Amino acid sequence: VSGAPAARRLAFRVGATRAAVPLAVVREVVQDAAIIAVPGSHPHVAGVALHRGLALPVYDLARFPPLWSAEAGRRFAAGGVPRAPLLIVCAWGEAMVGLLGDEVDLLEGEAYELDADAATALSPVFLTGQVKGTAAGAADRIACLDVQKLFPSLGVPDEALRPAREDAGEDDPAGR
Amino acid sequence: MKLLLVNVGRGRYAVAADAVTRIIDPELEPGSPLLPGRTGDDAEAYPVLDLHAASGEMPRGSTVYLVLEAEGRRTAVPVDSAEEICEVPATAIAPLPPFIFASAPRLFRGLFHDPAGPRLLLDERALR
Repeated sequence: VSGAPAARRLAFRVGATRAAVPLAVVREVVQDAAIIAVPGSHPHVAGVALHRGLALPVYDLARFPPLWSAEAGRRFAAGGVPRAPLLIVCAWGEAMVGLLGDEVDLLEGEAYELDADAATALSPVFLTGQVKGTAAGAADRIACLDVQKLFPSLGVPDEALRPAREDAGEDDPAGR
Repeated sequence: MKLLLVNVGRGRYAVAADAVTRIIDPELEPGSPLLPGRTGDDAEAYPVLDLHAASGEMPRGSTVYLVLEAEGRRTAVPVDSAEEICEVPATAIAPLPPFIFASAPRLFRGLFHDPAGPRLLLDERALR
C-alpha cells in the first residue's frame, strides 16, 4: 500500500529472489543449523531442526508452489535453488517456524515503502497472493511477504501447540 | 529410553529397542520365514516400511531387516546398517509438529541429537 508507514523487516534471499518478513515475527537467525529431512512431510518442508529443545519445522519457500509463478516453479523443480545457509526463526502464534534463506539484511526507516502495484513487477518470480508489497533494497526490489497468509498456507496452524515437556500428552515421543 | 540407531540412505533414524523383536540379515538367514516377500507355509505376511522410498531415495547396498512389533502388529523395516543401542533421556527427545506431515500416519515420534547430528525417532505404533 503506497504511503503506508514504514516497518522494520528482515530481508533475505530465496533462490534468486529477495523477500522480506516483518521483523516483529523474527526471533533469531541461525547459521548452519543441522536440519534433517522428514519422510512423509509436505514437499515444502525442508526438514526439522532441534532448536532450543524444540523440533523446529523448517520451510523452503523455493519449494512452495503457491508463492511462485509456473515459470519459476519449473526452474526450481529443475534444481536451480542453491542451498540456503541461514535459518530464520519466526514466531507465529504459539508455533516457531524456520525459513531457509541467505544474505539476510535489515530493512528499516523510511528508505522504502510498500507499493502493492509494484508487486506485479516481481512477476514472474513471485505471485502476488502471498506478497503484501515491495520494498526497495540496496540493489533490487524486495517482495514483502504477507505472513498472515503465508504461514497458514504453509500448513502452520494459528494456534499451533508448542510442545511442552511437562504436558506433551499424545505427542510425547517417549510415550510418558 | 533405549534406542537402536540405524541408517537408511542419507537418513539417520532410531527405533525403540524394545520394539525390535529381531534383526534379519538375508545373507545369513536366507530361509527365514520372517523375511518380507517370502512365500510358503511357514512364511509370515506383514507390511514393509521402505524408508528409502519414503525419502525419495533409491535403495542401495546390502539390507538388513528390522522386525518391529507394536500393539500386536509386526512391521519389517529394511535398513542399510544398525549402529548401536544407546540410552537417550526421554527429555532429550522433542516431539515433531504434526502439521509438517502430508498425510497420516506420522512415521516419526520425535527428534534428538547424538554426537553426529540430528536423528528421527521412528514411531513403531504408526507402522501398519
